[in-house]
Amino acid sequence: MSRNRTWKILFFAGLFILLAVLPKLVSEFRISLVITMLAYSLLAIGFNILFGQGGLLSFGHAAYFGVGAYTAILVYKHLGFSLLPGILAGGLCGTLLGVLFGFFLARLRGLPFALLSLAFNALIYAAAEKWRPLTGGEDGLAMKRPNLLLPGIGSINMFPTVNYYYFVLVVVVLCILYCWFFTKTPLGRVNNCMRENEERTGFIGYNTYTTKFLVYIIAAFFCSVAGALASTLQEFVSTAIINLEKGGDIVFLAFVGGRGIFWGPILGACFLTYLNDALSSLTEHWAIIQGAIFIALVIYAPDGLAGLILRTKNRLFSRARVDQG
Amino acid sequence: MQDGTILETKDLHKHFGSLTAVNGVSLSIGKGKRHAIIGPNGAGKTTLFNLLSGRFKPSQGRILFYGKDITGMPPYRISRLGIARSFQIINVFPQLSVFENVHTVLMSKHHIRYDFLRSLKRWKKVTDETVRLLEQIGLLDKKDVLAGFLSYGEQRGLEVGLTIASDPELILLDEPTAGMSMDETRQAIKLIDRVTKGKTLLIIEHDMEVIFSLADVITVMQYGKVVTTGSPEEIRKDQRVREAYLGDGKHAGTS
Repeated sequence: MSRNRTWKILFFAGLFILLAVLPKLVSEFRISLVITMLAYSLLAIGFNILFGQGGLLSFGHAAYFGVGAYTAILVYKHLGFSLLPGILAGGLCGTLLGVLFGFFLARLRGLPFALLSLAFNALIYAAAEKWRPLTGGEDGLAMKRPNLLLPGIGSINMFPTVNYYYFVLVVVVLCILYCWFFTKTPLGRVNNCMRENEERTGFIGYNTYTTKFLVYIIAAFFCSVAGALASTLQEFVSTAIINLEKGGDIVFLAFVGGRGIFWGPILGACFLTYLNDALSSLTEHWAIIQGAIFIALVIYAPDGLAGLILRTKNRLFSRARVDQG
Repeated sequence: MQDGTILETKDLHKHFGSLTAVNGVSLSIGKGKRHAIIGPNGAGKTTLFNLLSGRFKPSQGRILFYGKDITGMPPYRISRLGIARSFQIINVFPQLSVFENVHTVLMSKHHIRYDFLRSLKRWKKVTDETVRLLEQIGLLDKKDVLAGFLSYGEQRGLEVGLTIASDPELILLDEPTAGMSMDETRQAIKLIDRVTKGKTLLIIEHDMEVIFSLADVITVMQYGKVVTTGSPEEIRKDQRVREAYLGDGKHAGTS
């Protein structure tokens, strides 16, 4: 038990050092790939509160990622927001949208829930496409990264990607730490109960509507913060970020990573972001290879990469024990 | 409402399309009594439970709890008023540990339901209470096991545990010994007897041994209606019950 703990501390210390010195080790272009991984990790973790922990499958979370992304660019452009207020505005707008859609979705579960979430995503996509004066339609919107204003410290220039990397790192780590803490709270527990047995959750005194509504809003917040971080990196946003395909991609991030284990979606987000990048620079048919990898994972690793890793670890450890004995 | 009545139903009906599952049931459950409902399969016993616990809305009629109309309330509100039910099929949270199963019920009992800013560990009192309850239902040594991995008998025990954990005033048990071996049944009866002391119990059972050893009052149902209500002695003697349900009395115990 205590040995396990030592390993854990060593692992997190190593990870911390690696993330801290990473900009010294890789090129600026690679750093922007790492930032994308971080933003997608947060997206996948936020989404998984609903999917893996709450048992609710939504195909519509590109809407939150997209609304966060658009809001950030818009408030930089028109209202002159600095970095942190811009990201928070993205999170807030996504949360408000979550309140609106959650009001309807919290009644449902299973297929009707998945389909209605898809319909809401289509609605947001259509709005972004048609409301050209605000969103720029397919052409999108461009706006350069604003500075980070910190009271007492002053203005930090975010133009160097490395600076922005540290900002994203702090925001994502804080958000993911909260998401982990969430699993230890009363609402986090009830969320698990809802996945296991929604009916019984009602019979032991929980309002299942309230539970779903709250959980939905919390997930919406983190997904839209992730979107704001991503569009701020790109300094650009267009309707491609919000289309229906994207909604399916988000499910894959969590599924490929392993929705049953807290850190699984992080693994999925990093793996798929890397794969996307590596394969698309390697061959123009990367989508086919990516598709084949997905199929293999869905069939042979239904509990995701995280499940695969844990199973392999258990097998190795039990073999080691047998060898000793 | 008579004195000492905890639950009363008035002319309760439930139709499913052209089928009438519950057909004008008027019942009065005395406070502190152990009231059994018996009757052949399809008599409407479980449907009656579903109406009382809010799973279904009655087509007609009223349900009064301490004289307060609770007809058509959703399950979570009925549960908060102090009516808890168990299910005929196992209906626990399989991927949660035994501890977590019971703990979640107790969190609800203490009105700590949707907090997402404080850790569950903060409420030490609830944790202690969970341990006490697990001890009571004999599952303390299995507390870290996932509920889905328990044996059938243990899962039934947990099912009863989840029902009584909230310290309800009225406990509805739907065939708590269904599918159990003789030995498991005897254990379960002991458990139910112990944990429902001083509470009002409404129990559906097929096993006559269970009924006659546990119940103070028995209601016999058939075709969605109440045939008769009386003490175990009266029911044993009742000619209609013998004909309708107990056969000639010699084969009691099978359903």
